[in-house]
Amino acid sequence: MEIIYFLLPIALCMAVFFIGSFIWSAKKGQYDDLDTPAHRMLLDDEAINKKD
Amino acid sequence: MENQYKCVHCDTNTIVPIFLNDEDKEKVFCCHGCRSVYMILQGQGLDHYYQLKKGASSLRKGAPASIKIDKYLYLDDEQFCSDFVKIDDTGNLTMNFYLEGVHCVACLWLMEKLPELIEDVVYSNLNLSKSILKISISEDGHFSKVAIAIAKFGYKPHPIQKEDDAAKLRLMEERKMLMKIGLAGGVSGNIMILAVSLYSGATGELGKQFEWLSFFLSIPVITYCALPFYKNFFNFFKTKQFSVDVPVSIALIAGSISGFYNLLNGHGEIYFDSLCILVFLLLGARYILQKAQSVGLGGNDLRHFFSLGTAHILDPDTGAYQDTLSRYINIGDRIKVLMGETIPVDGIITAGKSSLNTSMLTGESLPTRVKKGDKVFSGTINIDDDLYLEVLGVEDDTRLGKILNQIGALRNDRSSIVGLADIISKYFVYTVITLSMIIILVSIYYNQFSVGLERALTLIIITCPCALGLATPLALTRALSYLSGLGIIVRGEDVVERLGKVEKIFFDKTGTLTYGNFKVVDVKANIDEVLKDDYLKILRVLESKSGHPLALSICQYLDECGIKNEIDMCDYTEELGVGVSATIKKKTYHVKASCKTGYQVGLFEEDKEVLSLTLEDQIRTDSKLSLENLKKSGLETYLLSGDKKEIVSKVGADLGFLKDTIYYEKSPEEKCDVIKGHELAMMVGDGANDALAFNVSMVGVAVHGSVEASLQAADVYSSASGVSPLYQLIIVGKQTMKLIYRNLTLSLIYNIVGAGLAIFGLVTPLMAAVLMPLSSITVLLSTILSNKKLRNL
Repeated sequence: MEIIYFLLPIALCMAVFFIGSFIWSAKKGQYDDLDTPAHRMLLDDEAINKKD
Repeated sequence: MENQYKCVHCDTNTIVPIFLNDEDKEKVFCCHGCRSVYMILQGQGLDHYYQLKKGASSLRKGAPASIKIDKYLYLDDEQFCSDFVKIDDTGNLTMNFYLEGVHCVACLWLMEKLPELIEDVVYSNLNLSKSILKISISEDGHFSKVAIAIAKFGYKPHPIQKEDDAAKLRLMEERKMLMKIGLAGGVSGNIMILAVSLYSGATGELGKQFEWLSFFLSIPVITYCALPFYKNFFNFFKTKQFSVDVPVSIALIAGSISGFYNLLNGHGEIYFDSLCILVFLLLGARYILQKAQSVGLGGNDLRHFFSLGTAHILDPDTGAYQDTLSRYINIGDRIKVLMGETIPVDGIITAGKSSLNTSMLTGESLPTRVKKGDKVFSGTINIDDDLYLEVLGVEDDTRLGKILNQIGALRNDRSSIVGLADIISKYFVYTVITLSMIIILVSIYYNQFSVGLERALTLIIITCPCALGLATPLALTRALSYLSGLGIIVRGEDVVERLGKVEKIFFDKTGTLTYGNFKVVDVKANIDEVLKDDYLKILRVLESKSGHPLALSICQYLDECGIKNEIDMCDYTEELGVGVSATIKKKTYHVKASCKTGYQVGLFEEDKEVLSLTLEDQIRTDSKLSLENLKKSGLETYLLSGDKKEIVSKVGADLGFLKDTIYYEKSPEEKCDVIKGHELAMMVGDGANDALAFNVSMVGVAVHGSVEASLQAADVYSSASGVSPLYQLIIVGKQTMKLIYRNLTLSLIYNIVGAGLAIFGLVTPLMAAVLMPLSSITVLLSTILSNKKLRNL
């Protein structure tokens, strides 16, 4: 069962990493608007060709 | 079934198509507004919009574009800007707009291309789900220019007051809440892994270490994440305002103390796993509730739908008329109201004669003739010719202002319906607290305190009104998001509750059941039928130059008939308020209007009337079907109009209203009285004359194109034109109420059964913590199931 002393810290480190990244993204406001960015990423960034 | 065409721009179905031009019959539009937007987009090289729109899933229904575009001069006003514009460090100015009409990814593309299209715009960002556009312009830019450009694309921009500190705080709170949920969820998951091994029998050294690890893991959850509960708990001592958080806090504190005690003692349950899950689920439920409440626009946001108009004021020094904001007009000033503009004040005509569209104030569909010396009211539209006024009343002194004030006064003493779930949870919590107290007292009496504590804890956890708390918000979120997809904004969740109770619907006529503008319904030829087309061509060329609304209607009609503007004429003159005349092939022609039961327009050759046209305010194509649907679902429908008896009776008969359900020639105040006489009534309308009625009705619905007074008073605003969304609105209301009752019953049954089990010690705290989310899942499932029903609507 000694393996548990190796696995448990790894599991906890992973948990800390994921919780930490969630908190970071929440703090940055990435969850403020859940609909628009999903659409926006589909749009190409090409310049419009103005007709005269 | 007649041929239906789908508008290229807004996807509205129409039976009277307007074509792009004579060659291109492929591109069909429902109105001139949509056609002009299409042409502007094409001209600017923005046709990519239509490719994006194809196949894009729409968040809400699009609406036909409007032709009339305001000058938005008030956006550049300094006083206005101080409330609405934010200046950042680089000197850029930022304003937020609520955009009516954005619905899909193509709109997003178009709006975020603004920096490339308009000079001075440096940044634009659209939040599609909230329809809020954030625009930044450079220091010397003008918001009016931006607003006009946006309006030309077919959207209607409404400025939103800049974020105050309260709004910022709200946003920060929401983010903090999310952080807490994330932390609690992550920790709970990890503790559960440990708990599983503990409950499946881990003992000895390893078991001890696991218990300590759970304790350390739970510390941030029980202290930081659970803070909101403790805050409300302490508020309870201060304000005596009882809430669910009181027993929750007691359970958390008691649970962690006794868990820690057992941990030190080396035997007995540690409750850290149950407590973390409890915190996580409660926070999650609360977050959903908050989200449900913020869907759509709040009452405060709707306030800014006020359209502040531009007026032309006489400068006594120079003798010229200057553009100014209508709010800067004072009593005694002299102003000019151009043809097609809305009169911003109450006043007396000093020069000029014209016709006024008073339908917004009185509900009358036929224009009223006015001349020098007549009194005119704010909110009416000047249709024929420029008018010169002396101002008699502004803002609160106007008739419109008085109606608005009355709305404000009435709104305050309107009783609010307290949420059903709140009442139930309150009593429930009282019962639970009393029961746990009794359990502990009894256990002390029998000298078995630890058993009593465990049972009391189990009781509090298992009866935690989590599902009860979720039952209503879940159902309401579903209803609100479904409705906002249809383009319906509901003010507050209690409105949905009231929607479910509606039994009678009162309809306004002008602009609601009818289009509110004139269409040619009949053409009589007093000559040989063979010659009719030639005369129609003459009529087309005569009317094409006039900007009169009737002329526009006639031209539109002739376009639909395929009559082209191809004849030459000379000596064209327009006598305002009377008609036009011109010479064609050496003959003089006149077009004159006369107003009897409808609007009559005659084409005269020399002095002989050759054509006579009748124009009427037509019933919307979807009105009849919508009314039938509503009647089928068991609702009583009434017609409540301010228009003349003959017109109302005719429309009422056409739409199948029974004689005793038609009210006519009602003033705004009388409308209000009629509604007062009926309980469970919903009022649907668009004018200021309906605003008072909205206030006393159970639910007031303002339809597309409503004036600000009615928007202020309305509970529901439908941005799709006509009354067709009403059926869905009512059904959603009724369905949601049913769902709420079902969810409440489910969670109550669960709670009562759970409480029984806990009192007799048949479940442990952990089982309680596992059972609790089960009840929430049941509620969630029942909501998802009824979602399917909605989709089939």
